[in-house]
Amino acid sequence: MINLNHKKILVLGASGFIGEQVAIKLSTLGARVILSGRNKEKLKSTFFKLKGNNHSICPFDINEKNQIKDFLKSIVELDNKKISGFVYCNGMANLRPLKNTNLDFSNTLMDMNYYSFIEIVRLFSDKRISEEASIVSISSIASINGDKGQLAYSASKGALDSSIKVIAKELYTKEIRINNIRPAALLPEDIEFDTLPDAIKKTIIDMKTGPISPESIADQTCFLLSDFSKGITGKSFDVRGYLI
Amino acid sequence: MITFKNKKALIITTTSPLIEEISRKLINQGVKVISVNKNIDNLKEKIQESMTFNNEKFDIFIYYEPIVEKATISSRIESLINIDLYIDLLSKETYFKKEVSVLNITSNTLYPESLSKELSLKFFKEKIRVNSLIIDENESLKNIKKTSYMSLFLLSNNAKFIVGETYNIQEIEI
Repeated sequence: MINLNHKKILVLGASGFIGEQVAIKLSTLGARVILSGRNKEKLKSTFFKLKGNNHSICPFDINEKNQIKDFLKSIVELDNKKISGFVYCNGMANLRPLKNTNLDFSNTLMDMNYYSFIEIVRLFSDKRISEEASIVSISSIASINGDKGQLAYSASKGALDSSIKVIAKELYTKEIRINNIRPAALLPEDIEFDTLPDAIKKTIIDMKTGPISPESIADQTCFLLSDFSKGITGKSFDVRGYLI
Repeated sequence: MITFKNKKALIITTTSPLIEEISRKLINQGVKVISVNKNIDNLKEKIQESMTFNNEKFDIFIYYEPIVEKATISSRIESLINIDLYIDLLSKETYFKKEVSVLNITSNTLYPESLSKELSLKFFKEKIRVNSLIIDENESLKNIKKTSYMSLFLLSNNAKFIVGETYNIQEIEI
């Protein structure tokens, strides 16, 4: 039903397991996919899993905020077409108890999970970069129900969540939509359940549906990037099974 | 991406362009759609009839509760009484398969947001997944389009981890 033909979508964090699934799904739905992330080897590996051709790899470290403007410009210049949307799959989920959550640690997580996101949204909204676009951010249920050790992570995702409505209102007249997905516990294929931290194991058990598959997050991301969700903006969508 | 292979949907509704659009989209996806007007006296008989017709239970259930534009608070409260009918139908094991996707669409802003959560937990063993959409009272073409696509997404297997949520799909206030 959904197709993304003629859409040029930037996937930030495409070397991660959610980003990879999003990129693959986007390509199967007809989008031109621009893969970005820090790990070139992983980006290449994702690239070879994409369907169709015309996709590109543009390695970039999102923490290099001063270079985001040039980075976005270079993506437009790939084919002289503006970008139709991006998905922000970047994120750090490091755990530390309060006593070890010093300023440096908090700043590191805020930088990746929030400040870089805001900066790329700000520069992306330039009419020379994007048009009639859709933005999707991947947050976490930890933003509203964090566990021990997730202080900095929860706060950074909470900051991201609360920015969505404001950005939606500000970009509405530019015909740019923004939505946010808040998954509970995901389990990458290559990680065994038994090796997970206890808090995540408990979350998965409480969800009663099994862990959320990255494919399912990819499906929802594609829906929100597509014209089929036109008119839907400023929303945070919880994906948490029976953890309600 | 969104598929509904071999699914059967029960829609309890009144006449509405939105429901017509959702039905049309479901039918295009190959869903067998049975619509029953909720105001008829023999509602349950009609549902039962549609079941015996091809002897198949439903895997999708849509309950639509519109409210007239600019309705008074008292008429909004009054319309909440219809929630009993919705829950009563949902409780009928004979109507539904296991793993049912339920969507309550309403324009009543007094609709209790916790209801989808409570019903999802109540029917957890039957794997009934309940979500709700609170929509604009004005069924403009633009609203119908976005609400119908959102409805299909929430009813589909792609949203299988989305449970007990209530989304307010209204125009953003600038």
